[in-house]
Amino acid sequence: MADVVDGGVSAPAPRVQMRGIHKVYPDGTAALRGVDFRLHPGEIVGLLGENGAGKSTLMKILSGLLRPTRGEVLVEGHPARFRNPSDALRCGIGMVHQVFTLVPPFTALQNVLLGQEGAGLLRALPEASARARVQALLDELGLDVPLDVPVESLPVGVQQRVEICKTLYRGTSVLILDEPTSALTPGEADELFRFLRRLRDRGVGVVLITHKLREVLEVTDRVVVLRQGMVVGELSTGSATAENLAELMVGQVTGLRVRRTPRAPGQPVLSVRGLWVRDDQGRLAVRDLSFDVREGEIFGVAGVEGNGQSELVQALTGLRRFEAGEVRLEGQAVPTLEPLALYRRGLAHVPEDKARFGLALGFDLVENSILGRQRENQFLRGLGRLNRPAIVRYARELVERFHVVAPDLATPVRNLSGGNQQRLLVGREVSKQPKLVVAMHPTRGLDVASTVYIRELLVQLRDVGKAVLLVSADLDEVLELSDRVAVMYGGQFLAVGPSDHFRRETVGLLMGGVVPTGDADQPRAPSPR
Amino acid sequence: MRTSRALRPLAESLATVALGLVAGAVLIWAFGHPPGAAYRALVLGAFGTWEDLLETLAFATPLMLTALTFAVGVRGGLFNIGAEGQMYLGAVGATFVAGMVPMPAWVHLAAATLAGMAAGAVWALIPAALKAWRGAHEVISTIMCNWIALHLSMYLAINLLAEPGRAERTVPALPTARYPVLSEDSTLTAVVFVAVGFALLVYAYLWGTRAGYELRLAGENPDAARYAGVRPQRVVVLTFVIGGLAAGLAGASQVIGRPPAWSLYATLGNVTTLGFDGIGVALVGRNHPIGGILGAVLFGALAQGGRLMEYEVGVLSELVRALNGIIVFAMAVPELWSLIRRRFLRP
Amino acid sequence: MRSRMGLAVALVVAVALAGLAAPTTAAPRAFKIAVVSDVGGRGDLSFNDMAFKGGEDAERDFGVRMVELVSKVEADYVPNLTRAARDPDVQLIVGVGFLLSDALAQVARRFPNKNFVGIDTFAQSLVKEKFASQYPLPNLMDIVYEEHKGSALVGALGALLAAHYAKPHIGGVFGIEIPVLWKFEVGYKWGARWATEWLAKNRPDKAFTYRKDFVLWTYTGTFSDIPKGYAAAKAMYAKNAVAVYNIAGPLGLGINQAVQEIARSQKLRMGPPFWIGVDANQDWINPGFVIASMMKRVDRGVYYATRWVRDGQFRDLVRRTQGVVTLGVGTRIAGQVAEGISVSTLDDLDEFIRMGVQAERLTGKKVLPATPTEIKSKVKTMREAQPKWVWDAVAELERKIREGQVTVPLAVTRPDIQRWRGELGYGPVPLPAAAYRAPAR
Repeated sequence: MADVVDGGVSAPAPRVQMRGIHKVYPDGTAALRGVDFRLHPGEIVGLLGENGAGKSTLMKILSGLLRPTRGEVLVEGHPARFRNPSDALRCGIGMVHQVFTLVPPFTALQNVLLGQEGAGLLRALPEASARARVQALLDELGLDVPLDVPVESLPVGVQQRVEICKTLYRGTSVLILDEPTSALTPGEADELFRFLRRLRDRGVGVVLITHKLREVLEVTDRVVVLRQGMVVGELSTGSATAENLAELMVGQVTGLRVRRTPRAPGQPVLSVRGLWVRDDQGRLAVRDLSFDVREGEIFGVAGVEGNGQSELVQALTGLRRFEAGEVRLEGQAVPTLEPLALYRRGLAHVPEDKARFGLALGFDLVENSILGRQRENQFLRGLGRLNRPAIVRYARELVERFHVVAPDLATPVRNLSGGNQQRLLVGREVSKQPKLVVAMHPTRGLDVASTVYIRELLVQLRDVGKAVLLVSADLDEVLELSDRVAVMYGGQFLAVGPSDHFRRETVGLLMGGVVPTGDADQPRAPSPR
Repeated sequence: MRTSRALRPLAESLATVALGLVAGAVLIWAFGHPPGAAYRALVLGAFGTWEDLLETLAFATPLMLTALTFAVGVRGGLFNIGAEGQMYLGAVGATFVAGMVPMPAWVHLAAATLAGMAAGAVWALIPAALKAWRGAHEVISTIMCNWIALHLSMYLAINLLAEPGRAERTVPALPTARYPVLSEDSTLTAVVFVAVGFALLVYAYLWGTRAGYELRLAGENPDAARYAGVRPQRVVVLTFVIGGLAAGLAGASQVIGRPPAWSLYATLGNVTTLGFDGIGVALVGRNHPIGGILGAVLFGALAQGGRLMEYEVGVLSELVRALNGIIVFAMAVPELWSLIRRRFLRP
Repeated sequence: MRSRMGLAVALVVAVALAGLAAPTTAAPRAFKIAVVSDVGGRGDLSFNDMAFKGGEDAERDFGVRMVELVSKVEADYVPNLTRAARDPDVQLIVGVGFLLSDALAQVARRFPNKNFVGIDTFAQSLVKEKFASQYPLPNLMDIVYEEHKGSALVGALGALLAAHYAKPHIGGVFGIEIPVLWKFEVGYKWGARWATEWLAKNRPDKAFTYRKDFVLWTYTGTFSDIPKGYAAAKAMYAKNAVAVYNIAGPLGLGINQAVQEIARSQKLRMGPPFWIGVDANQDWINPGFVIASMMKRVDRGVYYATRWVRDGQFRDLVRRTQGVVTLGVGTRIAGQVAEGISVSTLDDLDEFIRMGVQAERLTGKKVLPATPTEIKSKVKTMREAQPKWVWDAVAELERKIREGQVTVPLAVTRPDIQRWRGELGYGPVPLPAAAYRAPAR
């Protein structure tokens, strides 16, 4: 309620406070634009927002990992300047990251003690006395952790407990958790929440970074919603509903309009049945997905990043093995997915991270123009030699046709702007005469002109009968370009249906893992069609 | 624009050479020698006469090859510091065929050369296999292979290839398996043409063929290489094999292409450190086969020119070596830094 | 960018031109000698240092100037010899060590007006083999040494010590089995047998009969693997050998390690057990435990050669000797005494301690085990602790060799060595298995 929200006067002094925080990254991205934040002892604050809203950046500043461009951090009312995480730890502020910082072959006890006074990598750990203290802490918190087992053999949930214990052992009274449930099973998550409540009752302040509405509603006392680097809402959890949080989170339509005329889709080009894919940590990231992408349609997958989209796309494009399932291209089964085989059968792939997958930044435009097409006969001569004149000709054609601005063809693509890099990449893929285009975050980080250009290009492809699978964290992009939309959450499609059946707010809820009820025309079950 | 971009690394390298020479001058001066006279001797000693020039090239020959080993490794995304060991085995292989298997004249020369290259390549397959199928880091495995190669080669030199009555070295290459000496005035033989030819061939391969493109792609961006359908294992093996061929040729060149011994010393004394020196040469040459040739000539010039500098001006040989080091360091810093940035600081 | 490139090129050119423009200091024409080391280089306390010392002695006595060329790699031999030969002032070029044989043969042919000397080399035989029509090259001389005679002297010394201390054996640790080493082996055994005969005549109270297993000997198959020297010596000391002769260069350090172990466990300040040094005076390495060294006076070789060139005798000498000059015990060249083999004495020690001091300065590493005075006094005490008749007997053998009263056998062929082994000794002591462990580096 209101007293909780602006309780600057009557409430006790906040444990930590952040005022007017700005953060501009070296590449010019403004991640935070004047954010205020405070945390009292004994409360759990949910920090909610879409990808790129600035949640993690804000908390990395609080935990000393990043320094603010402007603004100040106050601890117990006194200004504090953290040069590194140790400084923050000394003020009792500790953060548990999504990627754990444990030494896999070390035992839980060794991990907790690592870096502590008196312990060194090479010196024997003073285990006897420390063990008692760690065990006491665990008992006090009601945590069950086997101390003498190498952490690599522990389940993820227990590893997380070790990580939390490691932070608390250093005397932390402000605990920041970055997406702590992303790797947990529902049971483990419930366990974690019970534990967080116990911590709160002991006077620890907890910040929970998340995009999952259910978690926010379930465990927090107060919610702060960030969007585009600014606080767009702060309310006590009691007064919050999934709907209003979702609305705050996704905001108003800001997209760039691309005209899309209705078109009847044709035969399925890509058919996926019962696909299971694991992520790098071996967890199941895609669970039993089935869908079709048809000729002349854009099938858009919305969702907050980290819900299995990358793994899905990588599996479909041959960059990642899949556990189980069946993938058909134009009705024919593809037994093993390998990039070259897929390209030969008509796949074009605009990867999620162009600098990582789609381009070799140190190579020039000419060499990048055949990346992935280097085995096509038109670019080769006898004895496996490259047909340089043909490649140069082709590169020049790409540059002209897709309006790539570059000083000359011999420029390393590193020196091109992101928009021009993406134009080159998309141009290359599109000019393959593909049957299926898989594009992930195709306009991320691009200037407006390039964004519009590439979106129009995708629609044009659809119009000439290509099948397009569009995966994007940009909700507007998905809604605007797609004929059909699926919302991905936890490795599954929570909803699939024609795009004009979705309201933004509904999608926002779905992205947060909340399946809205009472919305009659909402398609519910994942349908293979 | 295009030519200036191509020349840019050359200009950078020249600038760093100049910088290294200036720093070296300070050092020479600090030890009480006149830098001007010292450098005059260095230049004249390396290029002053026809025979000096040839001797400079003789010293450069093995280095351009071991530099190639490292350079190809970097281009393929590997930190292959195994040239040393691969070169030992190359020398052993060449010695065996050249010294113990009689053949008709030109066939013998070709066979000995190929035997050296093959031995180097086979030895390179060990770290290649460890990397490709077990994921063992090539720095560790090549260092270990270097040690094994050292002792294995010494064992073979002493026990298999020994010339009775000559404890210090192996049987010499038979006259049919020796590269013709180009001039009695130096130790340069026709093997230099083979070395340069091989470097140019590798250059053409890396930049002119599909396989070379894929190799460089894997080195530049392994993820993009996977995206382009390149099999990482293939590239690893290919990179090591090319490097091994080059290193093996380097080892062979010192046995069948370098008078007066025409044999391998039991201590491997006439080949040791050539592989490691190649790393510095490769850095100076910007990991480019042609840059490596130029870098090797620079190193050869320092080795040969330093002789006159020591002789005429009295600059201690240790100081000559320090000068080598300074120049290499000055040249290597930018490249090393970009290498580290690419490999270890990539987000 | 273009300007930066231009700047770079300009810099390089400027530096190069600055170098070229510097004037040469015109030195007055002088008699120079050049000493080209092998890869051991300065500070090896052996061949190279001794050669440089010989050059310094020549500078002092003959007013010549010595130029040093240190070979860093084997590939430097030819260019270094060439570089020296191209200096118009240089009249004599010395290559130190048999590794330079090939290079000397090649370069000497190209510079017929210069004089070349190889220490311990076999360059003329290479000329004979490869360029028979030019053999012997008139400007090339191999200087070799009578190691068999020196080995006989230390063999006798060892046997006499065995008699004095009532020990059953002496030992010898050899390197790779090559004919050169047979000279040492046979000389050493022969000297030991000579000593038993001497004892029978002069000290019947100490006398014992020479047995074929009296000399323990092992060819380690290496000149570099120090742990094998240690293992071989350890086995010999375990059989109660009174002294072990080092005929394997650096493996002496392994022998020394074995001695040191015994000394430490028994708290000895002086041998027995002893070991016997080779080539250089190695008595200072572990004062009190190196009874003596069989010295090959490389320095004398350089010194004599300089004198012969100065006196215009060099080419005549080459012609008369087919280019191979032997220095040894009682050798005379061109009517003058020119010896090159001796058993180390206390007086020799000073020169070598000086060499050690110099090496310490040069390499910055600790070389000497104690201060020069301490070393000297320890060695002196050790020598004085041995009965006088031991030294007298060695001196007597030396005199007899010099005067031709006895002849030390010289084994150079396989039949030679087989015959002498039959007469003087059983088969070698096998190298203990432990020697094949990985060398400690």
